[in-house]
Amino acid sequence: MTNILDVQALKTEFRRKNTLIRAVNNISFTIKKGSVLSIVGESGSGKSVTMHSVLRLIPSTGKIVAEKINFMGRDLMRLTEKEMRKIRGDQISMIFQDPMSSLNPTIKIGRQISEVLLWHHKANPKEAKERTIRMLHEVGIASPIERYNQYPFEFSGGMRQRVMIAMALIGEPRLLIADEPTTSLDVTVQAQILALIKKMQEQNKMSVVLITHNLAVATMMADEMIVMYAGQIVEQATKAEFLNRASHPYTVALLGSTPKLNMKERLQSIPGQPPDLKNINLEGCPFVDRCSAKMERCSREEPPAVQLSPTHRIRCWLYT
Amino acid sequence: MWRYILKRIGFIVIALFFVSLITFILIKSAPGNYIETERLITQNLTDVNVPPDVKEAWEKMYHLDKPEWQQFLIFLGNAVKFQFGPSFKYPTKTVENIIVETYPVSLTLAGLAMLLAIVIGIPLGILSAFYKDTLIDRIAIFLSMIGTSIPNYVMAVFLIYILALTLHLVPSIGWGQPVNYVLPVLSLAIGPIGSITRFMRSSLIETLNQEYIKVARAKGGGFIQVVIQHGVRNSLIPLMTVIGPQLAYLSVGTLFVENLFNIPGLGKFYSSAAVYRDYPMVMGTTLFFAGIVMFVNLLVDIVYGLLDPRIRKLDMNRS
Repeated sequence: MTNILDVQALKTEFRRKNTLIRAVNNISFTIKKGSVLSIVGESGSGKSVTMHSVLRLIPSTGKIVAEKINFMGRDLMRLTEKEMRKIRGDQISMIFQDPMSSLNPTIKIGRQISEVLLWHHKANPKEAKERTIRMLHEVGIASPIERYNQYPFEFSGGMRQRVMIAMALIGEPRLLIADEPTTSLDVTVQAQILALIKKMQEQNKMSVVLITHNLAVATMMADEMIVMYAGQIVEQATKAEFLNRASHPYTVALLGSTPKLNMKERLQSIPGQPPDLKNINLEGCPFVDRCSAKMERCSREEPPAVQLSPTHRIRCWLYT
Repeated sequence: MWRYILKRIGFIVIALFFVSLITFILIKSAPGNYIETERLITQNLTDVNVPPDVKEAWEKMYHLDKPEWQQFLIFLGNAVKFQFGPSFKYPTKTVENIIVETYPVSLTLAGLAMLLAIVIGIPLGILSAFYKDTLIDRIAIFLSMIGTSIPNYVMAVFLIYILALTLHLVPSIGWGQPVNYVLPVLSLAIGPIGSITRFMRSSLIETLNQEYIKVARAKGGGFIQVVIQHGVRNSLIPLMTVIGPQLAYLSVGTLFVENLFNIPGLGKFYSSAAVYRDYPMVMGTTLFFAGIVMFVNLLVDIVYGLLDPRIRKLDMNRS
């Protein structure tokens, strides 16, 4: 299988006054055509910034450096802003975390969805409207014709997230980035939304990057997994390897802090706080302060990438 | 909606009553009266002593011989019918006639100035917000600060000096030709340009930080789609609340500029009425101006509701 996206040595930094924040610190990964990649990690671990960097959608205080970001044979780093705009929404689209604030409150739902087709000159207004209504129907919104002319405030959270999905899918993108698509929804709606994304992914044969801090959601959807910590990828593996042979102490701890049914013992948590990216220790391993298996060299030397299998890579001194 | 409007109109009536009462007390407690002032200013006489019989007859004519509370009640009774009686200074005309004749002049000045301010202020604010923290933004902020901090009559003098006396582009004085509008409109527009620019900037910066702007960018939108269609649109609604009252204040606040350029607008009559102790004129114009400002504010609130789909739709469902 070929890769749809190949990111090499991506760094994203934000400069605020005199401090440099390394939100994404030298990461590389690939996504195979038609597969689902889940990126997991705590808040602030750089999951979202990574994917926003791929689309070059970060605030102006940020700076993206990468060896290459190869998408379907083109290096996104070398495209002009105008060329990049043609990719956004058309080739790569995004579902955002908060459906309540992601829709423009003063523009009708139908208009906001059909804009994708209109802006990319993929349909005339009449066709765009028809396709939007069909899309609304497809994402499970009842009476789409009336809904087309309604405003976001007339939709519930789950319905708005369906609108966001319709918006992301109507351009038939090759790659869908779903940034915490279910975080702000209640559990029953969560399952519906995820099933919808999965269905659309299979139907359109598109690739999906699912950003989440919910391990259950991540493993349910994914073919491959990436675990991020403090702007770095600490472990990447196939879903089976992740579930059966999770190796990095952080991943192990994450899995240990997931509640299970019929659990008798107290839920474990990872001691300490995620590191402050402003004064992160660049010498050693970023996880060293919270690691249960730390060794002396961990705080002095940066752990190397260790290949446990052709598809399983980890950054930890334990496995050298 | 109708209940709300009626309630607001009720408040306006109460407010107007107090405006009249306060104005009445203030003008009555100011020293001097019309016939004495008129002698001093117009006839250049040094003694203020009017023959007692003349004064008595004059006071009788305007009900000034009655107790003051009665005078106020008479005023109120007529004011309800928008009648303020003849002016002292222009006894052949009633105050309401003067208002109807001269307010359009002030309103035209204010309207043109506002139009200019919108045409310049909105794009300047958009540029400033879009290029936030760059040189363009700094220049725009600087200009708008000058605009809001320099009073229009100072600006007027400055503009006369530059445009009329130095560059000879426009005449400094005169009325009736379109060219005579240039200086007064420019000097009136400077302030609103500043405030519209600043409002547009801060409102758009706030909007551009919204999540839905990022979504619009992720959909592949460029400057027009993202900043204008998704951003400015949402900033224009709150801008209404600035422009409406500003226009009302401006149509009231043209008096310095009208005096300076000798323009026969209501502001000129308003200010001279206060000097001459022209009671009916002062009462009539003050009440009129207060009413205009309050009414425009009400109008803005109603239009605001109509522009915001959340309010509009809710209201339609209820009725």
